[in-house]
Amino acid sequence: MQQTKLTADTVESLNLPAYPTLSDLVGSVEEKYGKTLIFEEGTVSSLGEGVTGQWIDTPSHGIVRYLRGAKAWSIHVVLHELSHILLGHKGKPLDGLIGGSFFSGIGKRHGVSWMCRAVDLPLDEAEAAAENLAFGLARVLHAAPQKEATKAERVFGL
Amino acid sequence: MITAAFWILTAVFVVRLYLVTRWGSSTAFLAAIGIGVLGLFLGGVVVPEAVIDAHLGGVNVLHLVRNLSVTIAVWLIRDGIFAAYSLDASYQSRFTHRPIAIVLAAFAIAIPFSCQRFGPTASNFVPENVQQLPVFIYATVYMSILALLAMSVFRICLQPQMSLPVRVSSRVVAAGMGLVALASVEEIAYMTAMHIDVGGPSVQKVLYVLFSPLFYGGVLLTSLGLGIPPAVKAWRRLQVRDRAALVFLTATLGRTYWGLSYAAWLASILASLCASSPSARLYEYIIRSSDHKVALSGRATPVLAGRVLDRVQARFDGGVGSLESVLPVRAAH
Repeated sequence: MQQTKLTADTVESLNLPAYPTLSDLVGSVEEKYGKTLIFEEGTVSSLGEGVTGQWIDTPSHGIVRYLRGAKAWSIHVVLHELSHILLGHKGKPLDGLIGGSFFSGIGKRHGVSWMCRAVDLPLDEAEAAAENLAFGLARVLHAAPQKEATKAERVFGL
Repeated sequence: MITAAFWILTAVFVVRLYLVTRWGSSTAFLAAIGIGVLGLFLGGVVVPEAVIDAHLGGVNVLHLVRNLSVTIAVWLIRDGIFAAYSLDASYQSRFTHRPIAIVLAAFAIAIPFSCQRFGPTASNFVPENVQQLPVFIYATVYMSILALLAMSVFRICLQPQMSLPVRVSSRVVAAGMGLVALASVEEIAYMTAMHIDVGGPSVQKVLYVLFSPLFYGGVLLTSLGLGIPPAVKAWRRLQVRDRAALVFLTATLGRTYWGLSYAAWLASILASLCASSPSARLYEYIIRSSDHKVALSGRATPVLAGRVLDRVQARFDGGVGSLESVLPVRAAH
Protein backbone atom coordinates (compact mmCIF):
# COMPACT_ATOMS: atom_id res chain seq x y z
CA MET A 1 0.00 0.00 0.00
CA GLN A 2 1.38 3.36 -1.03
CA GLN A 3 1.89 5.57 2.01
CA THR A 4 -0.02 8.85 1.71
CA LYS A 5 1.38 12.23 2.74
CA LEU A 6 -1.24 12.37 5.49
CA THR A 7 0.07 9.07 6.88
CA ALA A 8 3.70 10.21 6.68
CA ASP A 9 2.90 13.53 8.37
CA THR A 10 0.84 11.88 11.10
CA VAL A 11 3.51 9.28 11.88
CA GLU A 12 6.14 12.02 12.03
CA SER A 13 4.00 14.14 14.34
CA LEU A 14 3.99 11.34 16.93
CA ASN A 15 7.69 11.86 17.75
CA LEU A 16 8.12 8.16 18.39
CA PRO A 17 11.48 6.67 19.39
CA ALA A 18 13.56 5.04 16.64
CA TYR A 19 12.17 1.56 17.22
CA PRO A 20 8.94 2.06 19.16
CA THR A 21 6.91 -0.63 20.89
CA LEU A 22 3.15 -0.84 20.79
CA SER A 23 2.97 0.74 24.26
CA ASP A 24 5.12 3.65 23.05
CA LEU A 25 2.62 4.16 20.28
CA VAL A 26 -0.41 3.86 22.54
CA GLY A 27 1.18 6.38 24.91
CA SER A 28 1.65 8.86 22.06
CA VAL A 29 -1.91 8.38 20.86
CA GLU A 30 -3.30 8.86 24.37
CA GLU A 31 -1.31 12.07 24.65
CA LYS A 32 -2.80 13.40 21.43
CA TYR A 33 -6.24 12.08 22.28
CA GLY A 34 -6.16 13.60 25.76
CA LYS A 35 -7.83 10.54 27.28
CA THR A 36 -6.83 7.11 28.36
CA LEU A 37 -7.56 4.14 26.17
CA ILE A 38 -8.97 0.81 27.25
CA PHE A 39 -8.60 -2.20 25.02
CA GLU A 40 -11.10 -5.02 24.85
CA GLU A 41 -11.02 -8.30 23.06
CA GLY A 42 -14.32 -8.74 21.21
CA THR A 43 -16.15 -11.48 19.41
CA VAL A 44 -18.15 -11.60 16.19
CA SER A 45 -21.36 -11.47 18.24
CA SER A 46 -20.29 -8.44 20.25
CA LEU A 47 -18.74 -6.53 17.31
CA GLY A 48 -21.05 -7.53 14.51
CA GLU A 49 -20.68 -9.61 11.37
CA GLY A 50 -17.83 -8.42 9.17
CA VAL A 51 -16.52 -6.02 11.82
CA THR A 52 -13.00 -6.59 13.09
CA GLY A 53 -12.53 -3.62 15.38
CA GLN A 54 -14.28 -0.72 16.98
CA TRP A 55 -13.38 2.53 18.67
CA ILE A 56 -15.91 3.94 21.09
CA ASP A 57 -15.30 7.49 22.19
CA THR A 58 -16.73 8.43 25.58
CA PRO A 59 -16.31 11.75 27.38
CA SER A 60 -13.87 10.24 29.86
CA HIS A 61 -11.94 7.64 27.86
CA GLY A 62 -11.74 5.70 24.66
CA ILE A 63 -12.43 2.03 24.18
CA VAL A 64 -10.76 0.06 21.44
CA ARG A 65 -12.30 -3.32 20.76
CA TYR A 66 -10.66 -5.81 18.48
CA LEU A 67 -11.64 -9.21 17.23
CA ARG A 68 -9.65 -12.13 18.58
CA GLY A 69 -7.35 -13.51 15.89
CA ALA A 70 -3.71 -13.90 14.97
CA LYS A 71 -1.69 -11.51 17.10
CA ALA A 72 -0.23 -9.42 14.28
CA TRP A 73 -3.64 -9.09 12.75
CA SER A 74 -5.31 -8.11 16.02
CA ILE A 75 -2.62 -5.50 16.51
CA HIS A 76 -3.31 -4.19 13.03
CA VAL A 77 -6.97 -3.85 13.92
CA VAL A 78 -5.94 -1.86 17.01
CA LEU A 79 -3.67 0.29 14.83
CA HIS A 80 -6.60 1.02 12.55
CA GLU A 81 -8.69 2.23 15.47
CA LEU A 82 -5.80 4.28 16.82
CA SER A 83 -5.52 5.80 13.36
CA HIS A 84 -9.10 7.05 13.56
CA ILE A 85 -8.20 8.81 16.78
CA LEU A 86 -5.00 10.27 15.33
CA LEU A 87 -6.83 11.48 12.22
CA GLY A 88 -9.41 13.24 14.40
CA HIS A 89 -12.37 11.27 13.12
CA LYS A 90 -15.48 12.07 15.09
CA GLY A 91 -17.31 8.83 14.73
CA LYS A 92 -20.99 8.10 14.45
CA PRO A 93 -23.50 8.51 17.31
CA LEU A 94 -23.82 5.39 19.36
CA ASP A 95 -27.63 5.35 19.51
CA GLY A 96 -29.07 2.13 18.24
CA LEU A 97 -25.71 0.37 18.01
CA ILE A 98 -25.18 -3.04 19.52
CA GLY A 99 -28.44 -3.46 21.31
CA GLY A 100 -27.24 -5.67 24.11
CA SER A 101 -23.96 -3.99 24.93
CA PHE A 102 -23.04 -1.94 27.97
CA PHE A 103 -23.05 1.25 25.91
CA SER A 104 -26.39 0.76 24.23
CA GLY A 105 -28.20 2.90 26.75
CA ILE A 106 -25.72 5.77 26.92
CA GLY A 107 -26.77 7.45 23.70
CA LYS A 108 -25.83 10.59 21.86
CA ARG A 109 -26.55 12.96 24.71
CA HIS A 110 -23.39 11.87 26.46
CA GLY A 111 -21.33 12.47 23.32
CA VAL A 112 -20.56 8.82 22.80
CA SER A 113 -19.65 7.91 19.23
CA TRP A 114 -18.05 4.98 17.45
CA MET A 115 -16.16 3.88 14.37
CA CYS A 116 -15.41 0.39 13.25
CA ARG A 117 -13.05 -1.49 10.98
CA ALA A 118 -15.16 -3.48 8.56
CA VAL A 119 -13.75 -5.80 5.96
CA ASP A 120 -16.23 -4.64 3.30
CA LEU A 121 -14.53 -3.12 0.29
CA PRO A 122 -14.26 -0.50 -1.05
CA LEU A 123 -13.54 1.54 2.03
CA ASP A 124 -14.97 5.02 2.38
CA GLU A 125 -12.59 7.95 2.61
CA ALA A 126 -12.21 7.97 6.40
CA GLU A 127 -11.74 4.19 6.58
CA ALA A 128 -9.25 4.24 3.73
CA ALA A 129 -7.24 6.99 5.44
CA ALA A 130 -7.30 5.08 8.74
CA GLU A 131 -6.22 1.87 7.05
CA ASN A 132 -3.40 3.64 5.24
CA LEU A 133 -2.19 5.13 8.51
CA ALA A 134 -2.50 1.71 10.20
CA PHE A 135 -0.10 0.27 7.62
CA GLY A 136 2.20 3.24 8.15
CA LEU A 137 2.19 2.67 11.91
CA ALA A 138 2.73 -1.06 11.41
CA ARG A 139 5.77 -0.31 9.27
CA VAL A 140 7.21 1.78 12.09
CA LEU A 141 6.40 -0.89 14.69
CA HIS A 142 7.89 -3.73 12.68
CA ALA A 143 11.05 -1.85 11.73
CA ALA A 144 14.05 -3.62 13.24
CA PRO A 145 17.47 -2.10 13.80
CA GLN A 146 20.04 -3.24 11.27
CA LYS A 147 22.51 -5.56 12.95
CA GLU A 148 25.95 -4.06 12.59
CA ALA A 149 28.30 -6.34 10.68
CA THR A 150 31.39 -7.61 12.48
CA LYS A 151 34.82 -6.88 11.09
CA ALA A 152 35.08 -10.43 9.74
CA GLU A 153 31.70 -10.10 8.03
CA ARG A 154 32.66 -6.81 6.43
CA VAL A 155 35.95 -8.19 5.13
CA PHE A 156 34.29 -11.34 3.85
CA GLY A 157 31.89 -9.13 1.90
CA LEU A 158 28.67 -9.48 3.91
CA MET B 1 37.13 -30.14 -12.28
CA ILE B 2 39.36 -27.27 -13.39
CA THR B 3 36.57 -26.12 -15.71
CA ALA B 4 34.03 -26.15 -12.89
CA ALA B 5 36.46 -24.28 -10.62
CA PHE B 6 37.09 -21.69 -13.34
CA TRP B 7 33.43 -20.95 -13.97
CA ILE B 8 32.50 -20.91 -10.28
CA LEU B 9 35.37 -18.56 -9.47
CA THR B 10 34.46 -16.37 -12.44
CA ALA B 11 30.86 -16.18 -11.21
CA VAL B 12 32.07 -15.36 -7.69
CA PHE B 13 34.32 -12.64 -9.13
CA VAL B 14 31.48 -11.06 -11.13
CA VAL B 15 29.07 -11.14 -8.16
CA ARG B 16 31.69 -9.71 -5.80
CA LEU B 17 32.55 -6.99 -8.30
CA TYR B 18 28.87 -6.11 -8.54
CA LEU B 19 28.53 -6.02 -4.74
CA VAL B 20 31.60 -3.78 -4.46
CA THR B 21 30.38 -1.31 -7.08
CA ARG B 22 26.67 -1.43 -6.21
CA TRP B 23 26.58 -1.90 -2.45
CA GLY B 24 30.10 -0.89 -1.40
CA SER B 25 31.16 -4.32 -0.17
CA SER B 26 34.72 -5.05 0.92
CA THR B 27 37.30 -5.36 -1.84
CA ALA B 28 39.40 -7.70 0.31
CA PHE B 29 39.18 -10.81 -1.85
CA LEU B 30 38.48 -9.19 -5.19
CA ALA B 31 42.11 -9.10 -6.40
CA ALA B 32 42.72 -12.61 -5.07
CA ILE B 33 39.71 -13.99 -6.93
CA GLY B 34 40.53 -12.02 -10.09
CA ILE B 35 44.08 -13.36 -10.18
CA GLY B 36 42.75 -16.83 -9.35
CA VAL B 37 40.44 -16.60 -12.37
CA LEU B 38 43.44 -15.60 -14.49
CA GLY B 39 45.42 -18.55 -13.15
CA LEU B 40 42.63 -21.00 -13.99
CA PHE B 41 42.12 -19.38 -17.40
CA LEU B 42 45.77 -20.04 -18.13
CA GLY B 43 45.05 -23.70 -17.45
CA GLY B 44 43.52 -23.91 -20.92
CA VAL B 45 39.89 -23.97 -19.82
CA VAL B 46 38.64 -21.59 -22.49
CA VAL B 47 41.61 -21.12 -24.83
CA PRO B 48 44.01 -24.07 -25.37
CA GLU B 49 47.26 -23.81 -23.45
CA ALA B 50 49.31 -24.08 -26.65
CA VAL B 51 47.60 -21.02 -28.12
CA ILE B 52 48.22 -18.92 -25.01
CA ASP B 53 51.79 -20.16 -24.66
CA ALA B 54 52.46 -19.32 -28.31
CA HIS B 55 51.68 -15.69 -27.46
CA LEU B 56 54.23 -15.88 -24.63
CA GLY B 57 57.03 -17.20 -26.82
CA GLY B 58 56.03 -20.86 -27.10
CA VAL B 59 58.55 -22.06 -24.49
CA ASN B 60 56.24 -22.94 -21.57
CA VAL B 61 56.33 -19.50 -19.96
CA LEU B 62 52.59 -20.01 -19.57
CA HIS B 63 53.41 -22.57 -16.87
CA LEU B 64 55.37 -19.98 -14.90
CA VAL B 65 52.74 -17.24 -15.31
CA ARG B 66 49.97 -19.62 -14.20
CA ASN B 67 51.86 -20.75 -11.13
CA LEU B 68 52.78 -17.21 -10.16
CA SER B 69 49.09 -16.24 -10.52
CA VAL B 70 48.05 -19.09 -8.23
CA THR B 71 50.74 -18.19 -5.67
CA ILE B 72 49.77 -14.51 -5.62
CA ALA B 73 46.05 -15.39 -5.42
CA VAL B 74 46.58 -17.68 -2.41
CA TRP B 75 48.80 -15.05 -0.75
CA LEU B 76 46.06 -12.45 -1.21
CA ILE B 77 43.39 -14.84 0.12
CA ARG B 78 45.57 -15.41 3.15
CA ASP B 79 45.99 -11.66 3.60
CA GLY B 80 42.21 -11.14 3.38
CA ILE B 81 41.47 -13.84 5.91
CA PHE B 82 44.07 -12.51 8.32
CA ALA B 83 42.51 -9.05 7.94
CA ALA B 84 39.10 -10.54 8.78
CA TYR B 85 40.21 -12.59 11.77
CA SER B 86 42.80 -10.26 13.35
CA LEU B 87 41.72 -7.77 15.97
CA ASP B 88 44.20 -5.18 14.73
CA ALA B 89 46.63 -4.65 11.89
CA SER B 90 49.67 -5.92 13.82
CA TYR B 91 49.87 -9.07 11.67
CA GLN B 92 50.87 -6.84 8.75
CA SER B 93 54.25 -6.19 10.37
CA ARG B 94 55.18 -9.87 9.99
CA PHE B 95 57.53 -10.49 7.10
CA THR B 96 55.33 -12.99 5.29
CA HIS B 97 52.50 -10.46 5.14
CA ARG B 98 54.58 -7.73 3.54
CA PRO B 99 54.42 -7.30 -0.24
CA ILE B 100 58.18 -7.86 -0.40
CA ALA B 101 57.59 -11.44 0.74
CA ILE B 102 55.45 -12.31 -2.28
CA VAL B 103 57.88 -10.48 -4.58
CA LEU B 104 60.78 -12.58 -3.22
CA ALA B 105 58.65 -15.73 -3.53
CA ALA B 106 57.95 -14.87 -7.17
CA PHE B 107 61.68 -14.46 -7.80
CA ALA B 108 62.45 -17.72 -6.01
CA ILE B 109 60.06 -19.46 -8.39
CA ALA B 110 61.01 -17.59 -11.56
CA ILE B 111 64.81 -17.74 -11.26
CA PRO B 112 65.18 -21.56 -11.48
CA PHE B 113 62.52 -21.59 -14.20
CA SER B 114 64.60 -19.20 -16.28
CA CYS B 115 67.69 -21.40 -15.88
CA GLN B 116 66.22 -24.41 -17.70
CA ARG B 117 66.93 -25.54 -21.26
CA PHE B 118 63.76 -24.14 -22.86
CA GLY B 119 61.82 -26.42 -25.15
CA PRO B 120 58.60 -26.15 -27.16
CA THR B 121 55.19 -25.97 -25.49
CA ALA B 122 54.53 -29.19 -23.57
CA SER B 123 51.11 -30.30 -22.38
CA ASN B 124 52.77 -32.13 -19.46
CA PHE B 125 55.55 -29.69 -18.74
CA VAL B 126 56.71 -30.98 -15.36
CA PRO B 127 56.66 -34.74 -16.10
CA GLU B 128 58.47 -34.11 -19.37
CA ASN B 129 61.11 -31.78 -17.94
CA VAL B 130 61.50 -32.71 -14.29
CA GLN B 131 64.79 -34.46 -15.03
CA GLN B 132 66.25 -31.00 -15.53
CA LEU B 133 67.50 -29.76 -12.15
CA PRO B 134 66.28 -26.14 -12.68
CA VAL B 135 62.76 -27.39 -13.52
CA PHE B 136 62.80 -29.71 -10.51
CA ILE B 137 63.91 -26.83 -8.25
CA TYR B 138 61.40 -24.44 -9.83
CA ALA B 139 58.47 -26.79 -9.36
CA THR B 140 59.56 -27.84 -5.88
CA VAL B 141 60.00 -24.24 -4.70
CA TYR B 142 56.59 -23.32 -6.16
CA MET B 143 54.85 -26.27 -4.54
CA SER B 144 56.59 -25.67 -1.20
CA ILE B 145 55.60 -22.00 -1.09
CA LEU B 146 52.05 -22.91 -2.10
CA ALA B 147 51.87 -25.62 0.58
CA LEU B 148 53.09 -23.19 3.27
CA LEU B 149 50.63 -20.49 2.22
CA ALA B 150 47.76 -22.98 1.99
CA MET B 151 48.57 -24.39 5.44
CA SER B 152 48.67 -20.88 6.86
CA VAL B 153 45.19 -20.17 5.43
CA PHE B 154 43.98 -23.56 6.65
CA ARG B 155 45.06 -22.86 10.23
CA ILE B 156 43.58 -19.38 10.53
CA CYS B 157 40.32 -20.48 8.90
CA LEU B 158 39.78 -22.98 11.70
CA GLN B 159 39.84 -20.31 14.41
CA PRO B 160 36.55 -19.65 16.26
CA GLN B 161 34.20 -17.28 14.52
CA MET B 162 30.86 -15.93 15.74
CA SER B 163 29.31 -15.11 12.38
CA LEU B 164 27.74 -18.19 10.81
CA PRO B 165 28.22 -17.18 7.13
CA VAL B 166 31.87 -16.29 7.80
CA ARG B 167 32.35 -19.52 9.74
CA VAL B 168 30.89 -21.67 6.98
CA SER B 169 32.84 -19.79 4.31
CA SER B 170 36.07 -20.15 6.31
CA ARG B 171 35.57 -23.86 6.90
CA VAL B 172 34.97 -24.51 3.20
CA VAL B 173 38.03 -22.42 2.28
CA ALA B 174 40.01 -24.32 4.94
CA ALA B 175 38.97 -27.62 3.41
CA GLY B 176 39.99 -26.35 -0.01
CA MET B 177 43.33 -25.05 1.19
CA GLY B 178 43.95 -28.30 3.06
CA LEU B 179 43.53 -30.19 -0.19
CA VAL B 180 45.80 -27.74 -2.02
CA ALA B 181 48.49 -28.21 0.65
CA LEU B 182 48.11 -31.97 0.44
CA ALA B 183 48.31 -31.86 -3.35
CA SER B 184 51.42 -29.71 -3.16
CA VAL B 185 53.21 -32.13 -0.83
CA GLU B 186 52.08 -35.05 -2.95
CA GLU B 187 53.38 -33.32 -6.09
CA ILE B 188 56.74 -32.71 -4.46
CA ALA B 189 56.90 -36.44 -3.67
CA TYR B 190 56.01 -37.25 -7.28
CA MET B 191 58.61 -34.89 -8.72
CA THR B 192 61.26 -36.18 -6.35
CA ALA B 193 60.45 -39.77 -7.31
CA MET B 194 60.69 -38.82 -10.97
CA HIS B 195 63.83 -36.74 -10.60
CA ILE B 196 65.87 -39.29 -8.70
CA ASP B 197 63.98 -42.19 -10.28
CA VAL B 198 62.73 -44.04 -7.20
CA GLY B 199 59.50 -45.88 -6.46
CA GLY B 200 59.02 -47.44 -9.85
CA PRO B 201 56.55 -46.50 -12.62
CA SER B 202 53.45 -47.71 -10.77
CA VAL B 203 54.09 -45.54 -7.69
CA GLN B 204 54.99 -42.61 -9.91
CA LYS B 205 51.81 -43.16 -11.91
CA VAL B 206 49.67 -43.20 -8.76
CA LEU B 207 51.34 -40.04 -7.46
CA TYR B 208 50.82 -38.35 -10.82
CA VAL B 209 47.15 -39.27 -11.02
CA LEU B 210 46.44 -38.11 -7.46
CA PHE B 211 47.55 -34.53 -8.00
CA SER B 212 44.74 -33.15 -10.17
CA PRO B 213 41.73 -34.24 -8.07
CA LEU B 214 43.43 -33.06 -4.88
CA PHE B 215 44.64 -29.73 -6.24
CA TYR B 216 41.66 -28.76 -8.35
CA GLY B 217 39.25 -30.16 -5.77
CA GLY B 218 40.93 -27.77 -3.33
CA VAL B 219 40.64 -24.87 -5.77
CA LEU B 220 36.98 -25.74 -6.33
CA LEU B 221 36.21 -25.78 -2.60
CA THR B 222 38.09 -22.52 -2.07
CA SER B 223 36.09 -20.93 -4.89
CA LEU B 224 32.85 -22.16 -3.36
CA GLY B 225 33.88 -20.95 0.09
CA LEU B 226 34.67 -17.47 -1.19
CA GLY B 227 31.32 -17.46 -2.97
CA ILE B 228 29.29 -18.02 0.20
CA PRO B 229 29.43 -14.47 1.68
CA PRO B 230 28.34 -12.68 -1.53
CA ALA B 231 25.60 -15.26 -1.98
CA VAL B 232 24.38 -14.63 1.57
CA LYS B 233 24.58 -10.86 1.07
CA ALA B 234 22.62 -11.03 -2.17
CA TRP B 235 20.06 -13.33 -0.48
CA ARG B 236 19.58 -10.81 2.31
CA ARG B 237 19.50 -7.70 0.16
CA LEU B 238 17.05 -9.19 -2.29
CA GLN B 239 14.92 -10.53 0.62
CA VAL B 240 14.58 -13.75 -1.30
CA ARG B 241 12.54 -15.55 1.34
CA ASP B 242 9.97 -12.76 1.70
CA ARG B 243 9.82 -12.28 -2.06
CA ALA B 244 9.24 -15.97 -2.66
CA ALA B 245 6.49 -16.06 -0.01
CA LEU B 246 4.83 -12.98 -1.50
CA VAL B 247 4.89 -14.37 -5.02
CA PHE B 248 3.58 -17.71 -3.81
CA LEU B 249 0.74 -16.17 -1.80
CA THR B 250 -0.22 -13.86 -4.64
CA ALA B 251 -0.19 -16.76 -7.06
CA THR B 252 -2.20 -19.08 -4.86
CA LEU B 253 -4.56 -16.70 -3.07
CA GLY B 254 -4.69 -13.55 -5.19
CA ARG B 255 -7.66 -14.57 -7.28
CA THR B 256 -9.55 -16.26 -4.43
CA TYR B 257 -9.23 -13.44 -1.94
CA TRP B 258 -9.37 -10.40 -4.21
CA GLY B 259 -11.30 -11.71 -7.16
CA LEU B 260 -8.66 -10.41 -9.54
CA SER B 261 -9.05 -10.82 -13.26
CA TYR B 262 -6.53 -13.11 -14.92
CA ALA B 263 -4.55 -10.14 -16.31
CA ALA B 264 -4.62 -8.31 -12.97
CA TRP B 265 -3.53 -11.49 -11.21
CA LEU B 266 -0.55 -11.89 -13.55
CA ALA B 267 0.35 -8.22 -13.06
CA SER B 268 0.08 -8.71 -9.32
CA ILE B 269 2.46 -11.68 -9.40
CA LEU B 270 4.93 -9.65 -11.44
CA ALA B 271 4.62 -6.73 -9.02
CA SER B 272 5.28 -9.13 -6.12
CA LEU B 273 8.41 -10.39 -7.84
CA CYS B 274 9.74 -6.87 -8.36
CA ALA B 275 8.52 -5.35 -5.07
CA SER B 276 10.99 -2.89 -3.59
CA SER B 277 9.93 -3.87 -0.09
CA PRO B 278 8.52 -7.40 -0.17
CA SER B 279 8.36 -7.48 3.62
CA ALA B 280 5.95 -4.51 3.75
CA ARG B 281 3.81 -5.96 0.99
CA LEU B 282 3.84 -9.33 2.67
CA TYR B 283 2.53 -7.71 5.84
CA GLU B 284 -0.23 -6.05 3.84
CA TYR B 285 -1.02 -9.38 2.25
CA ILE B 286 -1.12 -11.14 5.60
CA ILE B 287 -3.53 -8.58 7.01
CA ARG B 288 -5.78 -8.74 3.99
CA SER B 289 -5.69 -12.50 4.00
CA SER B 290 -6.51 -12.61 7.70
CA ASP B 291 -9.42 -10.24 7.15
CA HIS B 292 -10.88 -12.72 4.74
CA LYS B 293 -10.00 -15.73 6.83
CA VAL B 294 -11.42 -14.32 10.06
CA ALA B 295 -14.34 -12.24 8.93
CA LEU B 296 -15.53 -13.88 5.77
CA SER B 297 -15.98 -17.56 6.25
CA GLY B 298 -16.43 -20.10 3.51
CA ARG B 299 -13.34 -19.19 1.48
CA ALA B 300 -10.97 -22.11 1.52
CA THR B 301 -7.24 -21.50 1.79
CA PRO B 302 -5.03 -24.12 0.12
CA VAL B 303 -3.05 -26.12 2.67
CA LEU B 304 0.37 -25.02 1.46
CA ALA B 305 -0.67 -21.37 1.23
CA GLY B 306 -2.07 -21.66 4.75
CA ARG B 307 1.27 -22.90 5.99
CA VAL B 308 3.11 -20.05 4.32
CA LEU B 309 0.63 -17.59 5.83
CA ASP B 310 1.12 -19.12 9.27
CA ARG B 311 4.92 -18.92 8.98
CA VAL B 312 4.87 -15.30 7.88
CA GLN B 313 2.24 -14.47 10.46
CA ALA B 314 4.42 -15.99 13.17
CA ARG B 315 7.31 -13.79 12.09
CA PHE B 316 5.25 -10.63 12.36
CA ASP B 317 3.72 -11.79 15.64
CA GLY B 318 7.20 -12.10 17.09
CA GLY B 319 8.13 -8.56 16.20
CA VAL B 320 5.69 -6.57 18.28
CA GLY B 321 4.96 -8.46 21.49
CA SER B 322 1.87 -9.79 23.16
CA LEU B 323 -1.25 -7.62 23.17
CA GLU B 324 -2.01 -8.64 26.71
CA SER B 325 1.43 -7.62 27.88
CA VAL B 326 1.38 -4.18 26.28
CA LEU B 327 -2.25 -3.14 26.37
CA PRO B 328 -4.64 -2.66 29.29
CA VAL B 329 -6.95 -5.42 28.05
CA ARG B 330 -10.27 -6.25 29.64
CA ALA B 331 -11.53 -9.81 29.70
CA ALA B 332 -13.31 -10.87 26.54
CA HIS B 333 -17.06 -10.98 26.62
